[in-house]
Amino acid sequence: MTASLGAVVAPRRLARRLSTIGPLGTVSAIVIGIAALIAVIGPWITPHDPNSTDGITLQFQSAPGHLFGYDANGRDVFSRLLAGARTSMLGPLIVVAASITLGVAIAIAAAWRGGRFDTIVSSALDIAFAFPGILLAILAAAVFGAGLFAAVVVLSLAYTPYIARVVRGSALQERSKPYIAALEVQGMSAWRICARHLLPNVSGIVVAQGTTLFGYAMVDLAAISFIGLGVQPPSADWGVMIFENRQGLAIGKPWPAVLAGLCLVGVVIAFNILGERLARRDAGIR
Amino acid sequence: MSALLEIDDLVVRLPVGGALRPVLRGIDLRLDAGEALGLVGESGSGKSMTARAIDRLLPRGAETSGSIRFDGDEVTTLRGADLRRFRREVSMVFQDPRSHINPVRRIGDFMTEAVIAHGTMSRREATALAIELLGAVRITNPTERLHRFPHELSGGMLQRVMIASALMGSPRLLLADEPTTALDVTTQAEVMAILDELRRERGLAMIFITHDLELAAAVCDRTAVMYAGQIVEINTSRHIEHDPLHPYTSALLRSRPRIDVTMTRLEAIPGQPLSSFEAPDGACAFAGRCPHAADACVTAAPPLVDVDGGATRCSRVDELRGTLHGVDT
Amino acid sequence: MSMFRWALTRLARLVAALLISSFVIFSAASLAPGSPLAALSNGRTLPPEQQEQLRVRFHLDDPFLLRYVKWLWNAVQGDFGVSIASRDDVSRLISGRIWITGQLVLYASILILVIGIGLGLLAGLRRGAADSSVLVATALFAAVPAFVAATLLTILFVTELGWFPALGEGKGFVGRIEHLTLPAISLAMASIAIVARVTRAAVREEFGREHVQTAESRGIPRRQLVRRHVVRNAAVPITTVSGLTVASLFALSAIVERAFSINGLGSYLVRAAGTKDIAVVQGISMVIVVAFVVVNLLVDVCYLVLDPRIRTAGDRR
Repeated sequence: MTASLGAVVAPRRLARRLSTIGPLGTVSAIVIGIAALIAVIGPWITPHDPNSTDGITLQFQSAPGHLFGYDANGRDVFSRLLAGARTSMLGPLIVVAASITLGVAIAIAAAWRGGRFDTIVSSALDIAFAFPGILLAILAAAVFGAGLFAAVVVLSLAYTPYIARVVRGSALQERSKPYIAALEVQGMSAWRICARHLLPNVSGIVVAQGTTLFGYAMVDLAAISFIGLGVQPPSADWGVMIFENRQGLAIGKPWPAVLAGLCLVGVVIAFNILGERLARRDAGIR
Repeated sequence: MSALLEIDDLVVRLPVGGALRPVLRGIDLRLDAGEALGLVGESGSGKSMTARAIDRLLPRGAETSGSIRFDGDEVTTLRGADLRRFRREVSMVFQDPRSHINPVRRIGDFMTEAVIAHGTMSRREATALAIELLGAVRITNPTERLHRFPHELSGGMLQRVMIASALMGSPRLLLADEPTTALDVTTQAEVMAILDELRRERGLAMIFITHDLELAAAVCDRTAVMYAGQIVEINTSRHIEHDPLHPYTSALLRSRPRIDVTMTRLEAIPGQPLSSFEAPDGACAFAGRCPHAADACVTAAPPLVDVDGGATRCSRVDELRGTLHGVDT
Repeated sequence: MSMFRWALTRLARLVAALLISSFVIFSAASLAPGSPLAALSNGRTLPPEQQEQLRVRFHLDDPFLLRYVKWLWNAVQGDFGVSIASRDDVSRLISGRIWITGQLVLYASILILVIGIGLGLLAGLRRGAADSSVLVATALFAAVPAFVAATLLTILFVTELGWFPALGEGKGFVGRIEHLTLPAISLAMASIAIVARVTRAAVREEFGREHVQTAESRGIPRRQLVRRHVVRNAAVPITTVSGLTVASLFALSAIVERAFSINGLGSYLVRAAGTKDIAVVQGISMVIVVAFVVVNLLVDVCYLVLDPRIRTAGDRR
């Protein structure tokens, strides 16, 4: 928060920071910024009630005052897109925050303890890494009932290995440096060394990986909502909107579904590009 | 008799950071059939690049001017089948055999692939020759080794495989790029002896690239010393070793530890070696590190002038001649 | 000797993956809020004799771990219990749908391998226009989720062009191919992009290797150089990424089957999850996990063929 505040005050510093991720990275950051803004204020700036079925007789029709017309249930498409930004991005935010917390903790512990503990943890991570998160999510829906909550919890677990694997590599490298041993000899506590020396060194890669995972989480959560096990209608969500408006495809009125898809894909691409640029920058610094 | 290899004013530029920078700045060389020439210099002096330019293995985007003639034919413009035919006449032995031999192919495949591809030999003939050559480089159980993978052989053994396979196509010129640098000290001498012996037996010409002036002088008829993309001195190995004409040659000779003379300290060459990118246009590239540098050295780039049967690139050659130290005998 | 050890560790890891997943799948039912009986009966109140049936059937009076072992033992023999919703054997319900999902995944896998590796080789071996268009296309495709791809493909090829049927599975070989083409493309699209990118990077990396230069210095013709030294050596990373993407297709098929209303394992799994038909969910999940492990086993076999260092490492002299 303070970093972005400082950036507003000092545009030159902002320009310098952006120059490290290139023009494409900057565009991606702007796209993400706009999407995040809409996610925060979206529900308040919708021109119509996103859940009102006023146009039930005007399915897939355009109407004055309705930018993208009505959807399959006669609701205002534009309002639902704006309102959907929040559900579509809040879930991934929680997933990424949780998996980073968990993944970093596991990775640092493994890198610090080393030995057998590390061997067991890293082979467990290897097994879990390849396991499809979507299957876990379906399983969770079967147990806890369909809904965003179960999907978010399960995806947080499924994404933890993605974070833990890269962080472990990075932390292991730092751990082996002589200055860490020197601090240990001086009697600094393990907690302190991890917090003050290991953590700052892995923060760059965590941010990069977290950004990329945000995109993945958006896709996975939207997919879960699409198959009806995530966000439940009538809540507005981009994944749900694609499913709801599928019937429009057959009758030549694809726009409600396509617009929701475009919103999703656009933001996901932005996250992918920004994540890749951040990773490249992090590799460049090292 | 005309020379086997003639290089005239070879200039190579490589793209670095968007601009073309020179790595070789006007190389002139002549090599007779069966002759061995040492090419000596610090890393970045352009010695490996010279070998690569001859065998047309320059990195993508490199720009070459000047001429390289092999047996009277220009090679810088060769393409396709002609280039491949030329490459059969020239064999290369690389520095690090472990990374220069395909790890997923067997030794036998590595040795015979080229001659079979060229159609000069049947598979059976090629295999028989490979076994014979492995014996010649003193590898035991040659027949069995052909079925091994590179990772099953030691570094010294692999380099001998590399030397043996370099001889498979009966080349006329061998380009040996630091063939022993990556090996253990104990195996270095053995591999070097095998290389030298086989070359002499077969009357092969060789360009031997090394940073070790004395090693070059020991195995080569003539030696050329390179600095910042240029040859600064070339002469018979004996002359180079005992009566250097260039201050850089002298400095190289004196910076080497000796076991037969007790020295209080090594005479390191002051300053950093200059890459040819950074070489000044109108001055001697070595002037900044040269103990004998004078005003003349920084006002004009010295040409390569013929002296004492060789050539040197020093403005003060007439004054310094006879005063520079070589290896004491 | 060490190849044996390598195979053993690989096998041990796959068995561990199977055990862990099966445990997760089994215990999921016990995690459900309320009693396991309630979960099994989907919250309905059953007559006492049916409750007793369930109790015996699922060994509900046994300790948890014992129940797991018994369940696993039955599962290994192909017995996943009875569907609450249809009162039919889960294994019968699965075998009726496994074929169509298998075909879909196979179709998608072929697309991924042929197009993904093909595009990757093209981009890796050629520079300029071919390379940059593959790069741009794959960057886009990689970000398109299967269900969005399904939507877009339907608009283009069904509604606009009318080339393909919209929904269902189709009859006969040609009809099946017709009906499965768009689903297979949707399923494969993102994976094609990923495989193409990794292939391109692997080819580029191999091209820069020193041993390729050695081969070049000996006048090996370019085609042979590319085939025997570049592509051959890039095969290991290509196998890794192909295996990873293909293994995940079984789970992803749920989304595509749902989008195209295909009555396969995936859409049945989603339906069963929605109705809390736990035995069905467990059975299908196990099938997906086994398929996943089998693909990984195939990948390991490929490694064994492709990388001599695994085959002979250890007896270096």
